[in-house]
Amino acid sequence: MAQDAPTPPPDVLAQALIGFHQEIPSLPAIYTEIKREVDNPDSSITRIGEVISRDQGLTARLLHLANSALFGFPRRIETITEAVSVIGLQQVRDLALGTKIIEMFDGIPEELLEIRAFWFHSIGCGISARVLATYHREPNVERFFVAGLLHDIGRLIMCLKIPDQVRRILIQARDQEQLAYKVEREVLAYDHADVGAALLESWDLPGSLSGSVGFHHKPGLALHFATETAFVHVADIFSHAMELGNSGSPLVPPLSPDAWKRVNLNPTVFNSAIREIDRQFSEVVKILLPSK
Amino acid sequence: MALISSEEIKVGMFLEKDVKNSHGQLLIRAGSEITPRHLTLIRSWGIAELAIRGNAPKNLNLLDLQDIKPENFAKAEDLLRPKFNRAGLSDPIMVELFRYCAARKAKALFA
Repeated sequence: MAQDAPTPPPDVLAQALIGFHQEIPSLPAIYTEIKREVDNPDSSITRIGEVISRDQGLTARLLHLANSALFGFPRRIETITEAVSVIGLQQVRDLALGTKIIEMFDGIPEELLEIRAFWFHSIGCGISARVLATYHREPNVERFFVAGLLHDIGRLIMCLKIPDQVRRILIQARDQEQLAYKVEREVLAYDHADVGAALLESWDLPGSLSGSVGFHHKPGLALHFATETAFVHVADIFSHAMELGNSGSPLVPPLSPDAWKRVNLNPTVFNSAIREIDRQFSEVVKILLPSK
Repeated sequence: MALISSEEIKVGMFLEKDVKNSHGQLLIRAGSEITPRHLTLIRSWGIAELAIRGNAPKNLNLLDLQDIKPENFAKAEDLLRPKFNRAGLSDPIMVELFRYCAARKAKALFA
């Protein structure tokens, strides 16, 4: 008797989706250039400043961010070189990545996914991850911001590659009042987190980024970068609970006890965290998503 | 011992653990009674959380609700609850988050 072929694991299916025809946007060239300079021991802050300055839009946004509530520096940062020296090399590189990726995804039909609302949710998650990681005294909180910002990017890829299936999944999730990632798993045997991880891996980005994106709906299973993953998981819950934007699915996901243990926070910080997230969110949205 | 946020620390509370800044420098020693000068120090260093002796004061989490009318808070809770349908509101942590977010929503809607 013929047996059904076993379903391949979700990461394999997600990689197949990434590899399936050519519509995947490529990693922003400016990021590669900044990274090359940051990794080069002979480079300098001035040199990195010059590379960034070639992209005027990016330069303006990074300067805005440097002068925003995100950092709260006591004096004005006037030049990109100054921004690089006070924010840090890796941090500027990571912020540049997030900023450029937001610009890349045009052309997703509004009836399928409201792209501005999507990025509002993503920025909300990034800010939340950053604020919560600050309470944890984590070094380089910008990597938490970028991981949060990109946590749902797989859904954008799915909108580009399999729009009809995404439409059906989001409708089914709404009708059944179910979490969209659960419906994705049920229908496709993988979810948007798997696709996001496959994309970031195909771009050769750090494992902390693809790992925390890939496991943000199953943080208890993350073998590597469990702390980053836990913060993105909790931050996603905050962004949903605070109704910042819309990821395509309005429901607040449940909290993983493993992730909660790992972020090691006390609910007494919720009040000040929420206020800080609100304060940073409104400023960062204006910088990264200026109204047209 | 109880962990409380820096917004809830009051003059006269006793510290269970040392308070250090982000560079690890000691600001206030464990066992100290909080003075007004300590409050300034805690705020200016952006200390988020402190360990105090004894139990956390009751109704701490309601602090921020004092200026919200109960009926407005209830309305905000009703509007927000459907979004928490699948969030597991049997989890006490999620209940706390829900309450804070409902308070925030009440303020935004009825300010």
